[in-house]
Amino acid sequence: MGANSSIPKITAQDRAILDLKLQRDKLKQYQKKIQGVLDREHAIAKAHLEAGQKERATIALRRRKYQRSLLVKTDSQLENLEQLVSTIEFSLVEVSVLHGLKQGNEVLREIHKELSIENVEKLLDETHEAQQYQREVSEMLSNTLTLDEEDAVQEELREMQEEVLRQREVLRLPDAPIERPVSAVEGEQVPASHQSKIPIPAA
Amino acid sequence: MIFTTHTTKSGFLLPSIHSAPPFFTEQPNPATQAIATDHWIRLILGYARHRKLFFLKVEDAETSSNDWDEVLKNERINRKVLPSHLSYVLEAMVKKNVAVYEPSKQTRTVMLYWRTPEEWAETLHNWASSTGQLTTILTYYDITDPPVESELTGIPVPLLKKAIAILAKAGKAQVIGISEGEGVRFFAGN
Amino acid sequence: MHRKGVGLAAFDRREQSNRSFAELSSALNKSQIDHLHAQLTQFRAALVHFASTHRDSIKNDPSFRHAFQQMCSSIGVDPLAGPRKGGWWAELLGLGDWQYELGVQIVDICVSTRERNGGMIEMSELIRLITKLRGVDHGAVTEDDVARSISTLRPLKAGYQVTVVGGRKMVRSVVKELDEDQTTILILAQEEGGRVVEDMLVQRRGWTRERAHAAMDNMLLRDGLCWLDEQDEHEGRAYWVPSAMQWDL
Repeated sequence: MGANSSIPKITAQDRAILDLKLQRDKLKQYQKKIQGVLDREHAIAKAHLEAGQKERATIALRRRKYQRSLLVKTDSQLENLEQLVSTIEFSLVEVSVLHGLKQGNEVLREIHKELSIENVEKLLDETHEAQQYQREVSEMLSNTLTLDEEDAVQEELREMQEEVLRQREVLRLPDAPIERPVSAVEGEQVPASHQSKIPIPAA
Repeated sequence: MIFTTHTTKSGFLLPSIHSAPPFFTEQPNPATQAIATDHWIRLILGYARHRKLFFLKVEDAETSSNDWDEVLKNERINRKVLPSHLSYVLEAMVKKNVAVYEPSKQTRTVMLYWRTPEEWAETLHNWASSTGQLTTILTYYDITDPPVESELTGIPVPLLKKAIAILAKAGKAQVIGISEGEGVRFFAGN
Repeated sequence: MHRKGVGLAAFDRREQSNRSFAELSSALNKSQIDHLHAQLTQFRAALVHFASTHRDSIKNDPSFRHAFQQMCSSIGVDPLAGPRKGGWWAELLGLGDWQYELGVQIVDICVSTRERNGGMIEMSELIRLITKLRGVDHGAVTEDDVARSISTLRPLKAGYQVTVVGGRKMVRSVVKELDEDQTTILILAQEEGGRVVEDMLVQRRGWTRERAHAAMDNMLLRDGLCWLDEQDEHEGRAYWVPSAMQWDL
C-alpha cells in the first residue's frame, strides 16, 4: 500500500531506455556468437593445415577475417549505443538535479519571506529597547535611598570593618615555630644545663 | 571395509556414504530408500551450490563427462547412478520443494533451489543497491551477465523472474515490458 | 486373696524388670546408632576427601575408574549410577552425571546411525564414535563403561542392549530379536567388511539357495538391516550390512 506509492509510473522515456538496452544486449550476444565462430574457424584452419590441406585452411582463415571485420563493426555500434544510453541516463540525472535545485530554491524563498529586512529591524529595535529599560531599572534602584538611609548604610559598613579589625587583634597569637631551633641559641644553653647537672664536689 | 569422505578435483568434499556401493542402487525397502534419497538430495544441493549449477537432468546420468560426473559417478568403486534412480530423486526433490521442473510439463530436467527464490530475491536486491543500480532500468542480461562477475552471474532467467516477482510484491521492484522484451527497476523499499 | 496379692506384686516386679531391660536395650541401641552415625560421618568425610582428590582420575582414567567401581560395588553402592540411584553418593562425588552423560551420547550415536545400520552397531565402532564425539583420547571410554551406561538406560524401555554376535559385541538400539539366520548373516558380514552375497551362504554355510534368498530378502525388505547393491562386479547383486561397516561421520 505505502510501498506502491513510492513506485513511479513507467514513462515513455523508461520504455525508450529499456529498448536501447535490449538492443545493446542483442549486440553483445551477437558478439559472443561471432567470437565463437572465430574460435571455431581458427580450429578448422589449424586442423586443415595439419592434414596438409593448405587451400582449405586459407578459406577458413579468409572466413575468419570476414567475421572479424563484422566484430569490429559491431564494436563501434555497441559503443554508439552505450554512449547514447549513458547520455540519456545522465540527462535524466541532470533533470532530477535540476528538479532538486528548483525545490531548494523554493524553500529558500519561503525562508527569506520570513526573514524580511523590516522584521529584522523591528526585532533589533525591540531588543535595544529592552536593554535600555533594564539599565533604567537598575539606575532607579540605586538612586532611591534617602540621605539618612545612606548614612545608616555607611555606619553599618564602618562598624563591620572595626569588628573585623578587632577580631584580628584578639586572635593575634604568636605563630608556632616551624623551624628547628637555631644552633646558636643551643650553643649558649647546652653548657648551662651541663653545668647545672655537674655534681658539686664535696668540700 | 572403511568408508571415507573424498575431496573431488573441483574441491568438493563428498560424504562417506558416497563411497558405499549400495548408495548407487535404488533401495527396495521404503524406509531405507527414504534415508538414501535424503542423502542424495543433500549431496546434490551441496554440490550445485559448490559449482553454481542450476540444472540437473536425467540425461546427466545417461551421458558421461558432464558437470555432474563427480557426484553421479564414483569411479573409485565403479558405481554410477542409473537414470531411473536419478529420475526418482528428482521427483523427490520437486516434492520437497527444493527444485522445480523447468520448463514445467516435463519431468527430465529440474531447476535446483540451493537458494530459495526468497533468498535469491534478497541477494538480488542487495546486489542492485550495493552496485548503485537502484532506480536504474536493467535488462535481465545486465543481471545474469554483468561486466563484473557477481553472485547472480549465470542465474537462469526463470529463477530470476521468480525472485523479481517476490521483490515486486514487496514494492521493491517494478517489471517493465515492451514488445522487444522485459526489464526491471529496483527501489530501496521501506 | 494373698496369693492374688503376691501374684500381682510379682507381676509388677516383672513388669518393672522388663521396663528396665527395655531401657537398657534402647540405651545400648542408641549408643550403637550414635556410634554408627559417627562412623558414617567419618566415612562420608573420608569419601568427600577421596572424591575431591581423585575426581579427575575417576573421570578421566578408565583403569582407575574401574578399580573404584569394583571397590564400591563390593560394599554395595554404585556412585556412578546417576543422581537417582546413587543418591547422596552421586551428589557428594559429583560423578553421577558421568554415567548419564555417556548414556545420552550412546543414544545420540545409536539414533543418528540407525538410519544406515538399522539399529545395530558394533561395540568397537560405537566406542570409536563416542571417543570422537567427546574429543578424548582413544581408550578413555571402555566397553565396561558403555555396558554400564546401557544398563542405566534400561528404565527407558527403548530396547538398548548389548548382544554378542559371532563373538563380537554389538549394541542393539531397536526392540528386535535376531533370528538364527540373521545372526549368521551378520557374522558373515562382519567377516567380509559388510558385503554379503547369497553364494557365500550357499557355499560356506551350506544353505539352500532358497533359504539364502529368503533370509536376505527378510533382512532387506522386512528389517531394513541391509542395503541392496545391484551393480556388484561379480554377482550383479550384493547385500551390504551397514552395522558391519565402518563410517567416517
